[in-house]
Amino acid sequence: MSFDWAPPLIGATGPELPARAPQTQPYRPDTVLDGWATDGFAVRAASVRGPGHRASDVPRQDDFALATADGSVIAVVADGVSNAPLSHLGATMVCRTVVDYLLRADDTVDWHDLLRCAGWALVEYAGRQLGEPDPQRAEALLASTVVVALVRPDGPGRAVAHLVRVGDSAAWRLRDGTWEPLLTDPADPQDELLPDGVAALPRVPTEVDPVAVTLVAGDVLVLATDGFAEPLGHGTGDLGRLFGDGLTTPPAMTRLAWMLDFAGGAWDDDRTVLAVWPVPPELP
Amino acid sequence: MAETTGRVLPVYLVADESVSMTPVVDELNAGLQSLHDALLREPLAAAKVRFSIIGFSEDVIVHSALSDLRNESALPQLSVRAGTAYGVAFSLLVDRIPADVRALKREGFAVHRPAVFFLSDGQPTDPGEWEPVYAELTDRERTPTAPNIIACGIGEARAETILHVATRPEFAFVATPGVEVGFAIAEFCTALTRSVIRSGQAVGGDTAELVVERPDSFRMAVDVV
Repeated sequence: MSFDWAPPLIGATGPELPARAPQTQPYRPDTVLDGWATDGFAVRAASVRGPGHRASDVPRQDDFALATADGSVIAVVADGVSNAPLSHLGATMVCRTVVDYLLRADDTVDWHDLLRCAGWALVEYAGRQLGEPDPQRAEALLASTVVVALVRPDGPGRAVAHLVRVGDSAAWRLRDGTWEPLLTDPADPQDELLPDGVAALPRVPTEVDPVAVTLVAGDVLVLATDGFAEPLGHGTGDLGRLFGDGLTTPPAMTRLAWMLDFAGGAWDDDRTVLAVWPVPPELP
Repeated sequence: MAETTGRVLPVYLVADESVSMTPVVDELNAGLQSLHDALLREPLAAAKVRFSIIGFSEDVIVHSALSDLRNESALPQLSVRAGTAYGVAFSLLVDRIPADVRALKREGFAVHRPAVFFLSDGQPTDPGEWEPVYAELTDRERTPTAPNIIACGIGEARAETILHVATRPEFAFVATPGVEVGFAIAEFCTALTRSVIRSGQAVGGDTAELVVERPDSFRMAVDVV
């Protein structure tokens, strides 16, 4: 039995640098993996420290969280803003606060309140360290983007997902190898330049309207941070094909992590991918 | 839009080459050399930066066009000439920055807002002429690729002029009187290197409000993460 463990190469060969130990407490592993199945869904998720952070003592600033309740799946992906020094903690707190909120929520979710609570978790955490709540300091230290999906069953092999986000984390419906973006980009595609900054918690948009999308058997709901979304682009290149093929059915967790550790070009950001498959009951 | 191949930050060093810079031009060249060395030691950061060196006096010289410093064996040397006409430098940038951004986008890059590091040791010798050109360069309506300008004044440069040139007050740096000009140059080059290497995302967002009150439904989910 042999397997080439070299990471998949996307685009041109980039510099290869050894990973340095992150200078942070508490412990923050390079890679986290998760996956499980319920009666109606299968899920897989991986979050991998990017080559840029590996080369420079910085911990993985991405994170995700998963939960299930009443047959639904709660999926959260967050990306700590790179110039907020404790944003890796911010990303983790945001993910766990969202899961906690949705596990307690009624059928009708107040999405604006959900995001406000996720933002407040950062303010309160920073307040405990600083002695009093200080939203500006919380933003400077802990800012994090977030994308949330609540996926509910909608008949055998079908589901409806509701999604909200703050910032540039992304979501797609992957259908027959085609990546359909579910959240419109706040940046004007005609813009000449990248936006000067990224929207992030503890800032919350004044209006929050969830996007609803139907999933049928064979569809995959994918959430990801920009470390994956940017190289993916429209999904028609090497990365889109690699993940389009690799996520046709739920892969081994280690295979997802291996794919996500892709190398090449100037792609050096942390990357996180979380995928949800509606599973018809007749399949094992 | 084709697939993007990565993000890049265009950086322009615009340095005063007037005669009064004579005592410090060697230190400036040495500072640029150490910037180059630092970037070669940080290939991941260097891959995301394109760098151009421009010198001005009564005219303007492009010592090196926007390029990937990993491909350059040595950086050009700045020299000294007569005059300190800010207008010629800003005028060159009005033409060059949009063209450079277009070229990078044709190569498939997503481009950050360009950064200009502006260094002068004297008052402009073209008062009344440089201001309209500067206004065009920095007006994001007229110049969508308008750069952020970080301005550093040493020697005879006045604080109010440097504040005018910097696009935000916190982007203006004036050497403290009595501080050795060579020392100020070294500081400038260190700040330039740090900024170029850490060209990370900024926190921002105009359409979102900071959460300033605890929501009634809030519960701390985790005490320790």
